[in-house]
Amino acid sequence: MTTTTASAPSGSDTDPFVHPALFYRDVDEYVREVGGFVRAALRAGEPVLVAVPGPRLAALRRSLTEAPDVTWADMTDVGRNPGRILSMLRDFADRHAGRAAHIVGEPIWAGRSRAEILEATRHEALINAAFAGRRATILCPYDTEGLPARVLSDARRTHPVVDEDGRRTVSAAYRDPSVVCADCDLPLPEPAHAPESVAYAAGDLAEVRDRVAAWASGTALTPARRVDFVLAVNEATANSLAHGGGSGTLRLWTSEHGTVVAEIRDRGRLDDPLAGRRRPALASATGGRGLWVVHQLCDLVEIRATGTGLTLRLHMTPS
Amino acid sequence: MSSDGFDPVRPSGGDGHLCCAYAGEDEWARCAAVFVRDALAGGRRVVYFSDTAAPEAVVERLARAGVAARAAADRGQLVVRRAEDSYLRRLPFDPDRMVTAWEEMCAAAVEAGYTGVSAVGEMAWCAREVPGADRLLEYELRLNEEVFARLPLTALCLYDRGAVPEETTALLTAAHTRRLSPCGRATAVDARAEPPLGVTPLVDRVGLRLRGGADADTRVVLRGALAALARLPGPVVHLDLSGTDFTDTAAVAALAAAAGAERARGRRLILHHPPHSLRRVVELFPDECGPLEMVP
Repeated sequence: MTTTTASAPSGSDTDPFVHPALFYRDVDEYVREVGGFVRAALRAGEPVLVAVPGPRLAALRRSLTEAPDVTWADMTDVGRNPGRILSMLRDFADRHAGRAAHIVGEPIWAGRSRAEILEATRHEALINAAFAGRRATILCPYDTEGLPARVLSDARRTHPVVDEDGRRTVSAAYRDPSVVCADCDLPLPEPAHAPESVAYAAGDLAEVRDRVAAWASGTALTPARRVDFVLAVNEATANSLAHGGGSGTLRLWTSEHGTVVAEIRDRGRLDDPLAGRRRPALASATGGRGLWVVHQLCDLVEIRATGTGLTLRLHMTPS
Repeated sequence: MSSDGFDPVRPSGGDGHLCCAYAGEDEWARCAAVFVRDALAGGRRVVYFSDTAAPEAVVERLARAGVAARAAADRGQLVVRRAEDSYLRRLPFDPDRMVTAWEEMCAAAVEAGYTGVSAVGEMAWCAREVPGADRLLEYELRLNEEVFARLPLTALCLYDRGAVPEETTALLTAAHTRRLSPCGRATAVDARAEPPLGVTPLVDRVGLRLRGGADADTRVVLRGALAALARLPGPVVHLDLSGTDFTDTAAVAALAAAAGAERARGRRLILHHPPHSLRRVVELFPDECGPLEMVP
């Protein structure tokens, strides 16, 4: 397909945005390569954010004791739901407007579920759309020993360049974010047991919340997480009323792993694939505020946009 | 005085704002006609705002119910106007204009030698597509402080159950300080008619109480409540959320905007007993929720 973005396409020679995948084999290579990236950015006086899984974070911090100006984040926490990572990265870049943000983001690690990896792959693709034309670098480490081959081949589709064996090469497999996102819209597996199902329309929100709260009280979610669950479902169902054709179907179930799931299905479209992936103003009436809140509250949000409608699956895992 | 009776002479503290939800002629006669008869006997001017009925028909209807309405109308003590010929002549319905109109009406009555004004308003128009009808809740909530607390006025707002949906009636009657039972006794509250979000004036301090859920379905109610809150007097206004089980993100945004506006005017808006959902949204938007003052 042809690239039609208004700004220079990500990965082109003229785009100031650089988005490499870093393929690493072990911790030593990880510390050496990522550490080198961080030190170079600091020498250039650029702001640095490192958001990687906890164990990797610890190794890096031990090796970078001389770098007090780095912002550190445990990706298994801030990026538990892949759908809220992009908002965090944009937040960081926005806070340092006018400077070239240097970010290490590792959204996929060994042990991530298949559903999480799919949404993280979508996130990696959308980084290119969100940062196109922006002076910034986001380096994404991939553990070649711990991750499935499929994840690595997808990384070549979502990153215009790949750093491997100390060399940077252009990725011939790179695809436009819209192509990758469409490929991520795989059919969702049906729940193993018959879920609780609620059809709703305008005027039903209070009843929907009552049903969700009553159902959730029978799960292992803590009272505080049940509040989050009801709030997330309310925002998603209210979106159906405003943007999804005015009605929808809510289904509730617990997966075999004990994860609590709410599925919101309506006739909506996802016109902007970046909706909900930038921190909104509280007062903004439009522009993905509800979806952003849903992303912040949930452990995973699966999104499926098809020709006939929009499906969201909100996951919360009892602690 | 029993809680479901009424005193045609203006009680103190803005208690002159009465309402009655009725069904059928008998119930109308027992609340509206009795209210008019007692007011006339008390030397007050009575102004009756009908919904669509012609003034002459209202006078006859009152007369049938045993009120000496013809003579009262002839001597100018009873005045009947259709809503669309009086306060709904200029649209949209505007609470600010109404406050001024009440002041003028009371001044004219006192000038003419009456002790005050007793007004009856048929509110069935609120169920039609009248421009500004969405501001009726704001108006009903504002009346207590802005009108009844300082004018020699008692008003009875009539909600015809045959014309106004139960939920609308429940929402608007809750905004009054006193309710009249159409059959002379207190009516049980019909749970099915409870509005999903209701607003009641606070009696022990300046402010309002919200009960129910503040979400996309009830946005217009919250808007009306906050518009009324902005007009309440004093340096501090209170919003009691102890009966509010849910606020969505947009509701918190509206509350934060209201609190910020009060702060800009040198006033404080204090939220009492906010629900957990509100606190969660505040955590997600800490900067923008800065103006929100909350007590547990």
